[in-house]
Amino acid sequence: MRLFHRLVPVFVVGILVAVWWVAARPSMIFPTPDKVVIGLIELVGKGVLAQHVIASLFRVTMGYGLAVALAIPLGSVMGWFPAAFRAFNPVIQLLRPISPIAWIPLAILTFGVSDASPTFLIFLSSFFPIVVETTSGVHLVERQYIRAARNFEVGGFRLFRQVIFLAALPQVITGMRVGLGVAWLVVVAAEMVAINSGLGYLIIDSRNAGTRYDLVVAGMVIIGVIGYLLDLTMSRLEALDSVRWRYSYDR
Amino acid sequence: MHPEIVGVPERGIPSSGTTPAGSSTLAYAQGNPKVPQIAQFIRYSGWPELKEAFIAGQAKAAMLTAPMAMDLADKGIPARIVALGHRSGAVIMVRKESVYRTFADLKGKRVAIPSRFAVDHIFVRRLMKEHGLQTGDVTLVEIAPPDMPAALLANAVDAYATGEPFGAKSEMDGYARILYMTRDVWPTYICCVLTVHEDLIKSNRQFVQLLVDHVMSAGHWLDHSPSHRTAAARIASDKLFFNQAFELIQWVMERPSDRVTYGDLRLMRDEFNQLMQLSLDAGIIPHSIPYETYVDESFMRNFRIVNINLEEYTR
Repeated sequence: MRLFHRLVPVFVVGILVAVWWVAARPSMIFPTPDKVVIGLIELVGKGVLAQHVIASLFRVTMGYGLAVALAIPLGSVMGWFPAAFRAFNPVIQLLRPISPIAWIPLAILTFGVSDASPTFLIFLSSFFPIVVETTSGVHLVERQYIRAARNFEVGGFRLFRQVIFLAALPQVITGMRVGLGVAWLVVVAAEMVAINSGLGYLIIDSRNAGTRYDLVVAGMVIIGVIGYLLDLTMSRLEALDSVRWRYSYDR
Repeated sequence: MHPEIVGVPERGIPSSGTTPAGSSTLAYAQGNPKVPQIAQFIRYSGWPELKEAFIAGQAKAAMLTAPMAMDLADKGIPARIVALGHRSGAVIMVRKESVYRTFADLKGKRVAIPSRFAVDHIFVRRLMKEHGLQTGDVTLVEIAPPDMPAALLANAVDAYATGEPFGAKSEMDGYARILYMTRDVWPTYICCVLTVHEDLIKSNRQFVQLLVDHVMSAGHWLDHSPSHRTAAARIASDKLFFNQAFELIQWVMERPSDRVTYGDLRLMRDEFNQLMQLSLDAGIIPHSIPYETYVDESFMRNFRIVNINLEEYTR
């Protein structure tokens, strides 16, 4: 039974690949899975695949890391102090729905054409989900925890560090998981302003290159696989004892 | 006669410059409401989108870049070049106060190009070769042409190569000057070409002829008098076509008047062979493709001038 459970997702992927194969065969432009595999081998052979993956992961790490470092403190303050929430929330909600593509001209004007521009765009996209989840997590901490802590004369920053933040942590981690997903999602758009490297650049460059749609799809596949692995890693964080108490379902 | 879809690259092209230039002649072919509509004009948001629509057969005719059309024909996509879209029209821009006088001065600097597959890239490589620069002597940075003026303003690049009107934009705004124009250093420069799906040639030869007649006649008309160029700028700046400021398109048309030319849109075998060699050198095309594979000269040979009557726009 356990083996069956493990095989089901493999089976679903297999069916999807088969459907793709059949559907793409008559197409002049869309590659079949074998062509994509050959394209991937070509990229590995030239040694550029690892280069693209590392470049993208580097930009995402920087942008996302910066987002985590700034969004958690801001979200905590907004969740704890109603005045801060009133002050910042409209701006956050106003900026949140703007696509990173719309920020490209500003990114170029501010950061030039370098790693800083895509990093900034990735930062923007993952910053807001983390702020929003952290704010809500801190805001919704059950009052009885705080009352209990106060009875033990725990207050000030210690109250925040030992009680409030830990109580909010599950939701903060959910925000971080969403943020990382979005950061990886926008890598293609962000790397429209990247120099010669990155998986997003690979896709854009291959679209420009005559009929190299095998490499476009190869880039898509690699982005999908890495995105899946990143999410798997984040879901491991959610399984930690310090946060799993909050999730109602068993993992 | 069925109106066929003719795709043109958008003015805000992510992957390559070009502009009124490539598309404007086509705009006149059917842009005037008083002239019978011979085709439906669709502007795509970029080169890849346009190319994909062409491969999918949604746009039966398109203004593609010449190397793109050559490559498609080679890959078995039935594309045939039937006329040029314009002549000249690419520029290299630098900051007004910069010290650069020749391309050699750009050694060690950053030069923006739309994409390594763009003809502007070939233009840059040609200038590098002429000035004794090796690959790697300048850093080539790929940026979407609409973002190039901002990149130059922010000093993110030291120069940029693109099709118009993105060169004229920074010039008109007062912080950039032209370092090179294709008309001065590469008179046989080819960029946008009118490319037609072979299916359309088979099913509706008459229409393709009409299209070529209109595009080439519009070219003659454009270069015939300055008032025609002003009229063209007025039509092309409309939101239906390029959706750019009239003053900007007028700048491209008039400063100088041969910045982009349209008078002779005939296909020249030698020029295509030269471009093929340059594309091979630049690594844009993997192997040499014979002229006959991607060109159909028959429409150009049977060209008959049609009357372009846009007098009301000239006033």
